[in-house]
Amino acid sequence: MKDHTTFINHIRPRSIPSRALSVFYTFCLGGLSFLAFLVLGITGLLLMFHYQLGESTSFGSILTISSVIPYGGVIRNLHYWAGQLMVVTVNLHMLRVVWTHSYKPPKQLNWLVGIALLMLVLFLDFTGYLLIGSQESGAAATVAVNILGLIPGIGAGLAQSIFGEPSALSGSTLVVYVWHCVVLPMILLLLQLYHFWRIRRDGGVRPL
Amino acid sequence: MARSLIKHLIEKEGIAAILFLAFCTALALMFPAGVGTSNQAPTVLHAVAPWIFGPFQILLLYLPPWLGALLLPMVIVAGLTSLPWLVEYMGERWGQRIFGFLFSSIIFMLIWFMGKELWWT
Repeated sequence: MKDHTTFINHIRPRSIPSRALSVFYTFCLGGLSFLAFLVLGITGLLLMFHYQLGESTSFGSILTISSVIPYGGVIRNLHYWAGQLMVVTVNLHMLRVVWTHSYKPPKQLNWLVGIALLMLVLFLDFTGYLLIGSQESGAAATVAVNILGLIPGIGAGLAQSIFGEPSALSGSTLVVYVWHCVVLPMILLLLQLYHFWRIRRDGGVRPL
Repeated sequence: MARSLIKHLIEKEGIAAILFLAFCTALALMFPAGVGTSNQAPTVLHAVAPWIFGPFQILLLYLPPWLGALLLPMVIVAGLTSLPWLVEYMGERWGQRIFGFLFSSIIFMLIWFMGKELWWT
């Protein structure tokens, strides 16, 4: 029984309960969210080859990617739609977890990790929107900075560290770029792996 | 027995993954992602948030920022986060009711936003 907690046994278990194999119990929503994350990672990496960060260059490079670079439009559309679908699948996954009471002990910690993942996905979506560098993204960045500024004491510093100093005409800053392309995906990946490991550690999925 | 069952599950999840990728690709081919308005163009008077942040825009439209953009979202997130403990201390029925209320509030605001910004105008 001791090796039930080892990593090797986790990725290749000798056996798992047959009740955990019903596809209609989970509807594959967690796995599909992870698949969307992989699509986002690959397409995002391809977009980075042609994206030019800057208040006056971001929007133009998005237009270039969409209309000039071969297959750039499809790659960007895939990136966009995978992001939208990931938000949908993550939310449906949360509803499924509540529906099947899978947040109950001993799975409270994994529930917390799941909520953190949901927040990270929303934040990734928001920073991606800012990187377009359009007027709308500038407005969104301004609103976000002002909202964070309402937090007494730490608000202004927090806004500075998360969004940099966006102008009203473009939300794309180096700080947002680093959050979106490096920090948030790394945290999301590590938390997802921990989330998967906790599922097995907490006894796997159980039907109603 | 277990081996064949695992293979069967992988087949099913593989089919789900292929369908998901096909759906995603179809969306990407049929509906281009929006780019918004260039910052060289005349200033837009009314910026609409992406649908995901529609509930935020609705809250900001009708409530003071400290309430609509800070306090209420924090209450919603705290409520969702504490679900396992709510169920433990208040009972399953009440815990699920609180979750249902919070989640349906978000959906209600999302529908409100879509009706206001995307469908009716």
